[in-house]
Amino acid sequence: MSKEDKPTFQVSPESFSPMDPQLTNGRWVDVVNELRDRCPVFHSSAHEEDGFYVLTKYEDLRHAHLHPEIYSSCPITIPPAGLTRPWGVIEADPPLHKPLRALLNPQMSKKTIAAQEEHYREIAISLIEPVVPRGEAELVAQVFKKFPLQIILELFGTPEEDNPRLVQLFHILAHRPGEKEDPARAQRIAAAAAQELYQYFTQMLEKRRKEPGDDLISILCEAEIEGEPLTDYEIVDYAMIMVPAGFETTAYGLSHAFRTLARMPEVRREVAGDFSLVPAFIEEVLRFESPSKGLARTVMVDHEVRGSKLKRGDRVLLLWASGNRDPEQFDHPDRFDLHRKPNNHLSFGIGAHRCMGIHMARLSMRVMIEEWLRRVPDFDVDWDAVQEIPGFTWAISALPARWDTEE
Amino acid sequence: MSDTPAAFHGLYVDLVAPCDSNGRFLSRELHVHLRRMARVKEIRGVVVNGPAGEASALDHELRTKILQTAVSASPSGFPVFAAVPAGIPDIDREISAGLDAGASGIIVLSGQTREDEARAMVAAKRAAGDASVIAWNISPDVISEAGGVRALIVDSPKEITSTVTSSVMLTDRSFDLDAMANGGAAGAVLASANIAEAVWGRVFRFAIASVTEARTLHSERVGPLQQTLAELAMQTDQQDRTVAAAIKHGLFTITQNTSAATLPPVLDIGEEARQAVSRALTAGRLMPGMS
Repeated sequence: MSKEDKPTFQVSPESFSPMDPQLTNGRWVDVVNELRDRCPVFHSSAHEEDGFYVLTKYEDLRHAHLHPEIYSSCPITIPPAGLTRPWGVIEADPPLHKPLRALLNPQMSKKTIAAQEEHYREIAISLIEPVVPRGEAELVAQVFKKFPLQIILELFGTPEEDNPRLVQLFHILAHRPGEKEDPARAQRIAAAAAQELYQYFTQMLEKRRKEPGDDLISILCEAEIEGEPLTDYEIVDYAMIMVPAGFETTAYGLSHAFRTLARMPEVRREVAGDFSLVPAFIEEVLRFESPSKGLARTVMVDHEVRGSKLKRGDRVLLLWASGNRDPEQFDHPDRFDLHRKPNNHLSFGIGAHRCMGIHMARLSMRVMIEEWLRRVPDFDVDWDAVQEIPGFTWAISALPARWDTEE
Repeated sequence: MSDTPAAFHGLYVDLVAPCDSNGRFLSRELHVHLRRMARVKEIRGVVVNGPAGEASALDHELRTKILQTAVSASPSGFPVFAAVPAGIPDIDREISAGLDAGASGIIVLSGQTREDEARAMVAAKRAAGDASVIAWNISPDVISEAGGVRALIVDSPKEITSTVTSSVMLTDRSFDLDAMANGGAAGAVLASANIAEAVWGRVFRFAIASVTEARTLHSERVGPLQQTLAELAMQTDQQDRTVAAAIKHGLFTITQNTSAATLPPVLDIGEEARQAVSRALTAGRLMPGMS
């Protein structure tokens, strides 16, 4: 049967949503492969007032990333996150983006982050060691969420007792509970969560102005761009993006990595036997699983992509998950290849907006995987309890694991 | 130079320059603000240094900086117009600076006297070259004398019948935009601080943040509007209550620059007026699909 003869899509392009629960548990792979094959640029009405276009080909995605004059990064998500301001540096366009990003380059550089390795390792060990003797644990809640959260909130100096509420609020922003059933209500809830977060960080900013510390907010209070200090809004914007970006993505990146280790014993054994493979393992997990299925752009200049006429104001989803499985870019894209080289996946983005926390994410994941496999090289998972939760980064609800203890 | 539209119609925004509580211009906020407007497909272009107060109250250097910021933030094909008030000293320098900064055209704002307006129109026409010259509340006879004016922006629907230009646009000074639905006006120029009310439905989600940011230059006149917006927001659901909170906390952080208040674009409007705006914009196909 030719492509044209296929009667129906697995998921209709017009109803495609990157937040669709139907796509969980790996079903997204077949769906995006089919969409990319049959309609590499398509329109969906699943979100946004006028719907949105979806780019699926690696080449088109790369082009969109590298041309911010055509594709604005604001709003960066579909549907929009419900914020009343742009989402800080991640939604800034040139020429504003560069100085905003440059402000934090010293704190986020590879060298600075690498110097934190021992500290990260101490945190990882402090979370792993109490768990290991038990022989079982739900790893997402007990380890993977706590680890990056502690790292990122140390940077911001938030009191530990505030962390559960912050996690809850950012979870609402990132996963929009009830989106499918009642989008308007989900939007209201997200807006309320955003408002509470704005207030929280504004109050924190006021405290830091009175009593500066060595945290990121205090540093930003002193920062200037071209001789102009940052406004309160701008400082709060940094917190609004860096906390969820640093926490959610790493927590769920780790969840996907450990699910892969559990699913693929041969890969696990190879990695556990040679830690020099851990970085390549991480990159292949990010390509293969695409924990963030994609981010959005807004068209700023009328143009055409593969016959689709995109107009200023049109919303576009850059479907990284599809680009990461594009056979024109990756050999045998649906095969998990620990030794894949090169592996220019899209999961950190590319171009000027490449993930600012890339070094932090890579180091966090590497340290956690090494320290875990050093102690627990073999483990099983109760698969009935493992569920994916769609979001801007797809979460794994739980990863209940069991392993043999020495006793 | 940012692009000049072939014809003037649809919705344009008079971009109120954001400044902080000390009256300091916030260039990065303007960048964000303009990009937000440019992402709304129904908005066809922006005006800077307009009658919100910038044109008359800010100095030449600051006006130039505002324009440069706006042009640098503007995507290709999205025009930025520089407003120049008739009657300011050294108007030739002002117009040249606007065009040098990359404005798509010059909008001459009304002045105190007919002579001021005539002088400004002639200067603008002389310097403009291929760029557009637009008149804002300038007498029809002055426009006729100058010739070649691309569009006229007027406050009152009564003036829509003017035939001195091919295109007549309305401001939001009267909020009586039903006239557009009946033919006549080609579009509207709305102050950015008013977008939230004028297009409460469709553009609202984009505009509210701009309202939050748009610390306007007219401190004495914002009270009624603030109250009205908050009341309107409270009439609806939780999302709008959030908006109301944003308004209370962030809207119109009053600047010290009260002297900048000249022609405040922010007016207290009632529900009836708001509905009229909605109907007019929808019927005029300026905001298709707006509820």
